[in-house]
Amino acid sequence: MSEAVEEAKPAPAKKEEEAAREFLVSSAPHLAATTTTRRIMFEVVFAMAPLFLVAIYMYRVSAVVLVVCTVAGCLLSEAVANRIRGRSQSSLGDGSAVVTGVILAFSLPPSLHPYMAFLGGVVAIALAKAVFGGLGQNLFNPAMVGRAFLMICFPAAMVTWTLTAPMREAGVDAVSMATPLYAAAKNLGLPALSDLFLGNVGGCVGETSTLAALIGGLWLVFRRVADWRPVVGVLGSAAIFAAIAHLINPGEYEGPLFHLTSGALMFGAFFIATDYVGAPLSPIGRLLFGAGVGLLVMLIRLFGAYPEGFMFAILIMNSLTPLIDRWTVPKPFGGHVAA
Amino acid sequence: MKKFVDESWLVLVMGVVFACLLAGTQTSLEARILENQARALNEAIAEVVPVVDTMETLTVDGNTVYKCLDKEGNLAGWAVDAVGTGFVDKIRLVAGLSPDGSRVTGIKVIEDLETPGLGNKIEGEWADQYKGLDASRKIEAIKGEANRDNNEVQAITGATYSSTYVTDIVNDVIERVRPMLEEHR
Amino acid sequence: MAKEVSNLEQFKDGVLGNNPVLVQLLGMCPTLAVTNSLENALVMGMAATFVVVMSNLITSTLRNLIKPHVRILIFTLTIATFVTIADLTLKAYIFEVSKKLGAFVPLIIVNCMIICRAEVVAIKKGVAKSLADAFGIGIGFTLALSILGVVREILGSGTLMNRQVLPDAFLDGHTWVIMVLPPGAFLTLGVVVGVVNHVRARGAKGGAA
Repeated sequence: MSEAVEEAKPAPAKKEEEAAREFLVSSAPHLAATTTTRRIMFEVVFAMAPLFLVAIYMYRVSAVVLVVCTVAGCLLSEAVANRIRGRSQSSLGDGSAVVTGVILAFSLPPSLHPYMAFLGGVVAIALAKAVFGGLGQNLFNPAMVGRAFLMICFPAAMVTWTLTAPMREAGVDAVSMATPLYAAAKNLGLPALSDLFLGNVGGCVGETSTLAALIGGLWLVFRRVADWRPVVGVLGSAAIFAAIAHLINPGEYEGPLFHLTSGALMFGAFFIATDYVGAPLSPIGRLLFGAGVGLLVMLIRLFGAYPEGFMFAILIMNSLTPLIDRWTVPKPFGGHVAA
Repeated sequence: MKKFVDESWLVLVMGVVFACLLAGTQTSLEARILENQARALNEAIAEVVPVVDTMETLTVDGNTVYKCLDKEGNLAGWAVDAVGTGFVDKIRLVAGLSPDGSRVTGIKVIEDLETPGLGNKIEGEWADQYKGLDASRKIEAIKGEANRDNNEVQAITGATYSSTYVTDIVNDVIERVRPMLEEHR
Repeated sequence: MAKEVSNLEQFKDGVLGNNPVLVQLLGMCPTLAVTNSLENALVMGMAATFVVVMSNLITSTLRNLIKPHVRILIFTLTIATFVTIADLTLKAYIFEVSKKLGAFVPLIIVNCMIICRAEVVAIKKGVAKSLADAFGIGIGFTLALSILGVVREILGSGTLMNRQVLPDAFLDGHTWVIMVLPPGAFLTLGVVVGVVNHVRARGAKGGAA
């Protein structure tokens, strides 16, 4: 997904306040695109609508509260950062802070205190984006930094999972519950694949439904807002490594279908791994980036202390991006030229 | 030779002066420091064996065990000094056992480097759960509600590992020391 | 520092203008490691102040006797001695805090802030000026550590000087664990240094205009 488009030199001639033209930085030839950050962000928000609907269905008002709080936190710290740096407040309108906020909210447990969600939003923008110079300058995915902050700050609250509304109506007798991945790690009973696919399982607000993530994600890929390469990289490598582990020890490790449909994998592959900022520039680099994320997710899930590792996988791969960029320098148009 | 003395006499003199200074400080403070360390240990023992008045130090199977006596000189319980692996670094604790060795009368963590705010809760009230547990069976740290009849303690939320390590250390040392207590009574 | 500065200016420079932590970014190890409570920060600050004062005092007194190529040896010798004295004193009189500070008191020996003062000031200037400098640097160091200590203790433990200041109901019963951990030290230091730089940049602009 597109947290941002790399901000190339702003056209000096006609610089509209509203929609300064921005370009993808890539090797020649350069074709001017009509996409603006604002339009891309709108598409992303639109694509996340199915996830949001599922979230509201599963967690009712708490899903809405979390989204409102994180978005408010993001917008507030964006505004304060603009103010301190003496910039215009136009970046509030480009939607990038909103997208960060929504992604962050979707990756939080539904029972989280609203104030914590708000704090996560503030930290995501202030510490991951603003201090690096704003849109397109950040090294790490802001939403994931915000989540990492909350994870370290409130470890107990961040791993407390509640029942979904349909479960409560069905009369499941419990207050909290284990997520499918935790259950898998501890060899407890696993939910049915159909529940996993639809999202009627314990987990983060917007991550549980594989179906909704697929609908929104495929729409983004179809609209060319999201690149297909990181998506294929993440899902492909995660599936391959899950399959290998499953073949080696079927009793201990679940199969690829379980892993693809549980946790943050589907949501993250389409909406987080496709972030333009913090990902490599070249197409092959983005494929590698995705594959790295998939591998790390599986390593953390199968062998790590945490049941889910999408956040850490993204952050680690973000830090490897400069390296990947060096390995995969794109060929100049017309063939290789000796340096 | 003259050059050597010329350039180094100051270093030598300062070395001697500083050495005397350090020796003086060390001698004047050593008693206090040792007393502090002993007090920390005694306080821990008093917490796990409530009525202790005097104690004898024994070595049982490589572990330091304090045989605790009350005011009348009766056996009040045993305090076992134990060290084991923690989540971050070694954890050192004192585990108290009833005179007949059947019950755990408490544990007190005295040294640890567990994560502040999470794992280091093992230093505090959390450890009270061990009071009264059966020493003849394994203690288990579990997530969620603990059933004391099953010899369970509730692990600290967010610090399951630290809780498990403490339990492991307690189990391990009790298992090794308990059978040997009889001959020291 | 071409012009001779007064003792008071030398002192103020250490506390504010050239604060060892917030401006020179020296002594990062204790700054990050022991500032999770105000008590730790104050004790560490005072121990370091004691060492830098004694080191500057002795170096400055003997400055005409010290041969240039053995000076580092003498600095190290002096600093190590007084660090050991400080460490023993803490162990004897405030055992609990010294246990929390652990290895970081002995590590004052390698705090480059202290040897830096000996090299930059004490070996060249008179006793009075060296002492003013040492107190300035020491108090500046303590001040910076205390700022971090206050922020981190309130947010991370809800207490200040081990007394509860945030009611339990506040923060939904959860304190910011990250603030007690090393990442919290980096984040707080980053924000504080950022604020200091912001204020200094403003001051510089105002001065020029």
